[in-house]
Amino acid sequence: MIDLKKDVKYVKGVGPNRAELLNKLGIFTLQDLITYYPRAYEDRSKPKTLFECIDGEEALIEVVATSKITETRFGRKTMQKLMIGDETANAEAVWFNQTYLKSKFSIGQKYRMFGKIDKKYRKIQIMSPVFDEYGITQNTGRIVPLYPLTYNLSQNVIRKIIENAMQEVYGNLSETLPEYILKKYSLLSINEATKNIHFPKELQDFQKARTRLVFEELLITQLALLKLKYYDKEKIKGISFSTKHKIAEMIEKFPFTLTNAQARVLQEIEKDMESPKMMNRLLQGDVGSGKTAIAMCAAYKAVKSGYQAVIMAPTAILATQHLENFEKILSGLGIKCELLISGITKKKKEDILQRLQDGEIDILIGTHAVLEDNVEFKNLGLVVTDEQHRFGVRQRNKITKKGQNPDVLVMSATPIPRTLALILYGDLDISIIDELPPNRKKIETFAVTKRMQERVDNFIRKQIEEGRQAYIVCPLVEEGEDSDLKSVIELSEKYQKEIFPEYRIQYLHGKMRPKEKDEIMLKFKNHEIDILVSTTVIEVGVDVPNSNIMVIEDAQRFGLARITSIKR
Amino acid sequence: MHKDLDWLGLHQLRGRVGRGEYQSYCILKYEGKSETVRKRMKVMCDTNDGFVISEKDLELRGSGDFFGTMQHGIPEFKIANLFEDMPILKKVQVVAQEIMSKDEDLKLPENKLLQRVVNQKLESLGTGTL
Repeated sequence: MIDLKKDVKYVKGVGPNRAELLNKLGIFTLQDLITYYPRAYEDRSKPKTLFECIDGEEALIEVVATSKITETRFGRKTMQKLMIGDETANAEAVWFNQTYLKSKFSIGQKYRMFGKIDKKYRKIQIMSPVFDEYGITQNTGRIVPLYPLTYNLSQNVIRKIIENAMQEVYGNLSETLPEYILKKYSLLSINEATKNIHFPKELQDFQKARTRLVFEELLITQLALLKLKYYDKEKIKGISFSTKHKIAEMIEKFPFTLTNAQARVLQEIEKDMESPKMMNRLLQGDVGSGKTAIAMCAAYKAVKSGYQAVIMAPTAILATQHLENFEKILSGLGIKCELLISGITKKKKEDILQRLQDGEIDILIGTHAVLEDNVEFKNLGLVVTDEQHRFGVRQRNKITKKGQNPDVLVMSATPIPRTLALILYGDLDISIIDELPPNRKKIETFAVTKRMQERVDNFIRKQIEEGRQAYIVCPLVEEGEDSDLKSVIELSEKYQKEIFPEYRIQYLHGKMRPKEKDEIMLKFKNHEIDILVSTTVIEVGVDVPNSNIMVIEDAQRFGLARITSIKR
Repeated sequence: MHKDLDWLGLHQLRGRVGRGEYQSYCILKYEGKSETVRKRMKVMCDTNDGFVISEKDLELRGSGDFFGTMQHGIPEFKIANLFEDMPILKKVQVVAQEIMSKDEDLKLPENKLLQRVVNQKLESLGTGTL
């Protein structure tokens, strides 16, 4: 059986120097090498005649050498030219600084060449082509894999190395999927799939190979996550929170009533918390569905049962907002909340850390700062993470290690379909708040074209005259961040000068320092700004209840296919 | 490579308004006649429900698109693409549930092969072998 853990430097054609380059690509072992999958393929199997070739395209030609290579020198550079031709035309093959090519061609011999065609002024050239003697299919005459990144290794070199590796492993890879699964889903064996993903003979070979490898990757991930979920639940003893202190007590203190969905989710959470099993639950709910209230209830129960709770938010501004909301309701119940973010003074921080250890702080709210090693709890019982983007199993583990198997509640504002939730959060139980509070009015949304510009402006004016505020959002532009910035500033100036000279307009973009952004958001919140022109950075932001209108410029730009990587 | 919000992201962005007592508005200015864009605009105008939008988003998405908002959070896959490979993912989830319901520890002889690779995967998730 083959040793897949073998250092890549011992693969034929690698050696210590190339191994270093491969390491930079994250390839350390034979296994890494054979799972370094192509990002695309180039079909070099369909020859064209010189007559058919189009200027600028990459093409495979089958030609006879009609001269020897001639070499021209300019300064340190050299150029090699070879006269070639087929039955339709004559052409030149051109290379630069490839002196060694001199002896590679013989007059009258047939070759396959693949390269970029230059066809101008009735002269045809093929630039720096790769080639084989006719009948050999090393570089041409087949479907060739293109690898994502090759560092200083050329595509040809990396392809040759993987080819060598495949010769070594093909037929010797031990199967990773059970026979019954392979049969039931008509999947290729690991050996065939690995060979065909790198060197497919036909494009459908690649499809079948890919299907098998994708199936395996997803299945293993899904199984691992499920195993994690069952293992945590069944085998780790968690905390049984008090059954005396019911969440219902707390709900009475709220200035609003819960939706049915919130009530149902709270039941699920309370049941988890009271059971000796460790809670590992994902709480999904749309923006504004009331996830914070749920977190507050769970934290209340934890504190009343004699434990501390930690709430982790993705940004300082959100953490601060959480603190405000928590304090509004919990301070009156004698529960002490504190904020830990990276901006606070050293002295304040030391004080917080001390009181946290002494158990004087009941609920700690913060950013990633709460993960630091010197943050120690007296008795951490509940971890709530508010995830803009998934924090990852690792980070969540880091925070749970600060207590004795605390219960974990993960909140996400991204409503994702169930199939995806299962693979993204497969290690968690899932609760969904699928209902908005009844007093929340639907955000009336209209799609308009340029012709309506004036009516839109008048509408904004009317709202501002009534004392409201507005967001104007422009999407990122493709060319680069500098032009995003420019477009925001320009748009803001246009509104200020041409449309709303009477209002206070400010722009905001992602390249500003966080402090600057926070200051602007605060001014907007305090109604010192009427219109905020911004990139999508306000996605994560402060609540500004007085702002009731959002205009999205160039809305067609959102959700378009992203630029995929460009050749080479 | 440049990325901006997808439609779900746009929906979340829209959630910046509608936080107070006032009736709130979102105005999507657009250009062009693309059918997909018009369909998406309609979805946004018709509903405020993020789950509906994310389902529609998935339907309207061609292969090669990414789930923008979630991108940072998606576990890294060597070869799978959760969107192009949604049909495979659905099959896989059925298989995974079947296996786990019968053989949670992957101890049955027919699942022996899986046990090894799943444990490797768990190690790479940073949680150690179970």
